[in-house]
Amino acid sequence: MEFMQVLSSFADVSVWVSLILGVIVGIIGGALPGISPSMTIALMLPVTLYLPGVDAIASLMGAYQGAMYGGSISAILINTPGTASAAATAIDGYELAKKGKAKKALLMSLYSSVAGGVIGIIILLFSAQFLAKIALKFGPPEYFGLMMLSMALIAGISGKSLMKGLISAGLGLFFATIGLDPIYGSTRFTFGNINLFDGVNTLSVFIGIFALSEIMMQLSLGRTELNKKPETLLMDKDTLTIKEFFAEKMNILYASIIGAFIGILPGIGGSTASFVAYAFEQKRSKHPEEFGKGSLAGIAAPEAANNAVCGGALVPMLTLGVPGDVVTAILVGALIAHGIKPGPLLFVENIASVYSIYIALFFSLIVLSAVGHLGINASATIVKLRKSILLPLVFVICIVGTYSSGGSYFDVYAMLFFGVVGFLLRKYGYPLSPLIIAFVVGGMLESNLRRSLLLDDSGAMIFFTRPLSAFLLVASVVFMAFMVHSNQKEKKAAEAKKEEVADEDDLA
Amino acid sequence: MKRKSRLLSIILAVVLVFTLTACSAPAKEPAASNEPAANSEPEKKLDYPTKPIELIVGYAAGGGTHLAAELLAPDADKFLGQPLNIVCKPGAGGAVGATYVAKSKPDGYTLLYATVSLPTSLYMSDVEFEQDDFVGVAMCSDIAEVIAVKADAPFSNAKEMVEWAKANPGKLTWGFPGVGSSLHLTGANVMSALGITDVVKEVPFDGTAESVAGVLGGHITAVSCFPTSISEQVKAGQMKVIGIQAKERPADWPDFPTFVEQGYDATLTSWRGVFAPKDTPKEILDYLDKAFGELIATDSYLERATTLGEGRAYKNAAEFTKVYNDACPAIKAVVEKLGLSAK
Repeated sequence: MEFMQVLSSFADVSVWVSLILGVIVGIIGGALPGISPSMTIALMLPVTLYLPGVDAIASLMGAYQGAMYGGSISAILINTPGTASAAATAIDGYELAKKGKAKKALLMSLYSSVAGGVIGIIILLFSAQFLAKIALKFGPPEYFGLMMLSMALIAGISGKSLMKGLISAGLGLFFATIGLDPIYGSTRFTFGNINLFDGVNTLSVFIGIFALSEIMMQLSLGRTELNKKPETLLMDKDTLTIKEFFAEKMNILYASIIGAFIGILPGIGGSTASFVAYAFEQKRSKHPEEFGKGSLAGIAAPEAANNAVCGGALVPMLTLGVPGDVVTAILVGALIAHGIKPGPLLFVENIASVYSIYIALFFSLIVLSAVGHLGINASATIVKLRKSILLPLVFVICIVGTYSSGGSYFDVYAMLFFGVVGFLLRKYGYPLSPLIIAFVVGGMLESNLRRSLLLDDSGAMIFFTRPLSAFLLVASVVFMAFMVHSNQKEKKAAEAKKEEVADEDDLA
Repeated sequence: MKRKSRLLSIILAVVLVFTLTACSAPAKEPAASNEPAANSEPEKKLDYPTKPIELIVGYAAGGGTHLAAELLAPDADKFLGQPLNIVCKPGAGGAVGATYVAKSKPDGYTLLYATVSLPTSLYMSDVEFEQDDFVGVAMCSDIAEVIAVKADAPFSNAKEMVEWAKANPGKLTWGFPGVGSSLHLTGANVMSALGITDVVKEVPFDGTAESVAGVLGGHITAVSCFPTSISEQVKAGQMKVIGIQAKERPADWPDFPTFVEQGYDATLTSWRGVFAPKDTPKEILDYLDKAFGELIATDSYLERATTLGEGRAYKNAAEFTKVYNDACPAIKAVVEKLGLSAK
């Protein structure tokens, strides 16, 4: 029983110390805007080289899961997503924090992260080999189909006006085209500035659109409001009930499956997964109108999804030797340094190391729930600060965080620019989520479309001669039509209601 | 209550400082163990270095080039007399970092860790530096690229591949990570040496992982990548190597046939190394030449480089400058042939 042997190696105290330290470093790295999960792991890597194999794996897996959760802390408390994967969490999380329910939001985020992580591992455990085969079926046309489906979801979260949602999404797609053309390498909208060759820094867009525009909105509240003492009374009584958590059980399950599946496909990653899960849940929900106004379901979905990505992203790494995202790409380097060569032979030659990765990932979630819980009370006190103190601090965090992601002032200017864009859009009632989703998905949508067209001479027919991509494209059209239809029905219902009220007023 | 919020403000301020410094955190580790007084160069009264030296990497933290640069950091203070801070300034295929170094003061405190993409960006985009803005200090590694295909491909060596490609024009698709990346150029160099540039199709991907998955899934025919990306798949019998681009078989990969031994002249390799801005004083360049030479020669460097799969291929300042200056026209030719030239 090799599994039991590996399990017994986790009885060592040093393994648990590594797990706990890994999780703590991960949460801190994730929570700090500008330090991405991949950067956190990259910073830890040199240290882990001096640890024994199991300890190193434990600390890296702990950091991976910790960072995926950590991003939500700053997203919820100060509307500044600490990681790209937490951007979707900011939408509802910050609304809850504003209502004095920061602790509830953080607890929801923590437990959905843990639940999502566990489901991700279960999927990894039972179907790694099978899923890897499916992942390989996804060529450029299938990626394109999947991206189209994600774009179709945007129609669902456009809010009241479909037109405004589409304009916002159009802007997002435009920002995604800035930089080098993915196929020809020619420059587009860069104005000769090499800082724009790789496109706009994702973090500049996220922090600008979410955090900076929020600061600007708050400033318009006026001095009395900003100097008011926050109502702290709510804080202490505010906690997450078991009932509230279990109300989201199906939501978490679906979101985790979405997250794990997107994680399996190389190159897509956590931010797309969490937005797709968010939009999916909003459509599934009985109370879609609560989304964007502080819905717990709006936190559970993206957080479960982005932790499930971890399990998913390990599938192609362990079975094919192809890392599923940037973090796993760095993990490959760490594992090789410890004599574990991820690849198709790993399951045959070194099953013990596969087990130890599974077990480390699972135990890291147990540690995450404990460590995360302790951290919540401390971090949630941020909302006790009055806004006249908090907002300037958040503004500085925006600048420092953006700078540290790439050591470039240009990214900071871009962040300021996107702050103004976000402010104007909010002022005129344009929803921000379509812009963000279109920006995240846009690059891959375009490059996979163009890559597909290179594959053979049939032109656009390639999307329909391959069953999987044809299915995905048809599904996105059906989905979009369904969304537009239900959107109009809602609108009519709302109008009818208004008329009814007006009639009643007339009668009175 | 008031005290509590003041405390919180302080905590937030500390968090800020941490965020600011975290970017260069790995480089700070050797700084902690360094005794600033220990100067191991008594024979010469060169007033250099008196502060830590920055090594700029033009790629994202955690990427292959950054990890390769980190190999230099652990013992650097013993040989350089000061710690080496690795600073990532990613963007534009390394050109953002290169521009930063080209424009910095040539005082030996700002150096560049660059790859064979440095000449590429000279010709591919309108950058604000020129070929002779840099002089080589030390070449650290030199990696050969492979062309690999799925195990059930209808050809197994370079000659068969040429025949198949010519018999099926437009059917052979080959992938690589990003337009103008070093693997794009080296791969294109192979296709050109095989004389099949016009009958094959290039498919740029967003990364090596996606392009290897593309071959395994049968979506493209071949991939241009480094041996470590496909060695496990080859061992498992899922992929096969058509050829490795090097003058002779590298010691780490004795089973991969070179294109040269198959009768095709393709020898463009991917090197990585340290550069300095051109006007750096000669005494400082000599000092760096010697120090990096000794550092790279140590067993501990070799050990670190081997575990990373990076290997060691040292060349001193004069030799490396020649490698760089020789690579420039060769790469210019490939860039022009690919129609990627900016000028």
